[in-house]
Amino acid sequence: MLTLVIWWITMCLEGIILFRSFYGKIASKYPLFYTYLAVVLALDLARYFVYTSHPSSWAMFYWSTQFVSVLVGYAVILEILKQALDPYQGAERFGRYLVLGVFAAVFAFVAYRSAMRSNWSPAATTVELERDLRAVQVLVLMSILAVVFYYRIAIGRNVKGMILGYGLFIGTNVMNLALRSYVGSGYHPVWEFVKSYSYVASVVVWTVTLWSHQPNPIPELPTRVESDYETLALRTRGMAAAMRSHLERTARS
Amino acid sequence: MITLVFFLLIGAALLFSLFLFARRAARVEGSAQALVEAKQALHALQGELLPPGLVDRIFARQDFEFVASSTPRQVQELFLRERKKVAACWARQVRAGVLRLMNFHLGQARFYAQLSLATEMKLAVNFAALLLACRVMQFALYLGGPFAAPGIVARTVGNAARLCETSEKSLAFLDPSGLDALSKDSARHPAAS
Repeated sequence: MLTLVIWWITMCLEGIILFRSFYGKIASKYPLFYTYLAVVLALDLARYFVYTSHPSSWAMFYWSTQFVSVLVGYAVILEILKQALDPYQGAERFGRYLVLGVFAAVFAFVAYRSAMRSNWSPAATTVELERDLRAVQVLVLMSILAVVFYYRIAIGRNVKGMILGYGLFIGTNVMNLALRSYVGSGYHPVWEFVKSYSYVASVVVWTVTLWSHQPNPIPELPTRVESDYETLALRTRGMAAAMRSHLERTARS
Repeated sequence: MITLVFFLLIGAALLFSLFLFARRAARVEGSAQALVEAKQALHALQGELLPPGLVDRIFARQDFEFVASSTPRQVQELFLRERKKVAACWARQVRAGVLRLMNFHLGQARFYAQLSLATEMKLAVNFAALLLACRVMQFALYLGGPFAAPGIVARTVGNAARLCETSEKSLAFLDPSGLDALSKDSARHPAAS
């Protein structure tokens, strides 16, 4: 019964977020995120129908739809990457290469693992497959956060909510799936519990932070000459050179 | 077991990052503010903290030897305490100056579409090394007094010089004549500036 209550709460909140997105005209601002949410709501409704009407098909239906849910989750990562770094072309370029680097490293690792094991398959179980795909999302999100921290990029309430909500969900999910894969079916009840509650927590975060459109703060962009990047860069270069000569003289003295 | 630990670690690392992210204040730093801060930092480093001779004077052992040779013990202790305070203050100010310079660089570089990844990485490592060296110097001064770590002081100054060199290289793609062109352009279009 509690499972069903959690399910209803989750679907209601997803519906509220989608309703608010159209009512507040936010949907067009974050299309990938709302596409993800719409797909997840559709999957939840389908799952609810199968769970209550065809319980015998539930397990198979769950894992096949879960794969879709994981894949569409990459849309949220793309949305976060796009929204968080958009006005900062340098940071965006840095983030893009970092994310590509993470993908390349992960796929190189997978290739290495497959070469080392003669009987290796892409994933021994669906749990491991989901764990691996979520882990890639975790690494990519951490790369984006690293760029945000490093360049001190100010993030608005909406994108902050997306990052916190989705990060909370995939972070707990990776750990949960790793334990499920390691411990086995004995861990199943705990896995169910953590999975459901972490997702509810994420949806609550999204409901609060995406209630109205609150975009990222607009950075103070340079004016025509005074703050033109190249001018400033040249000035920095001059300052750096002057500082260097002072330091070198100090070091020599 | 290693696989389990790996996945638990990356999950925990993300949750910790989210915790830090949630606590972070969303502050928009203006380029003008960053420029002013960078200028102040550079001015402080050049004029007040790193002029040739000042560092030598702060860390000069001869001063202590002179005081030790001609004053009672209490005066020597007082001299050491005061000199330690001066040295610690100097190290703190140098670190703050380097931090402000770093903030200026990051504040500007994030807007630049043709930013060089290799140089950015190199700069990040150099900034981190320099800030760490400043911390080590502060720690050494705190533990051993003003004359405990002359080598660390010299190395920190050397590292700062190398950092400036890298910083300069990151902007080397610009032709110096470009500044003249821009200056002339701004003179022709004063309303635009």
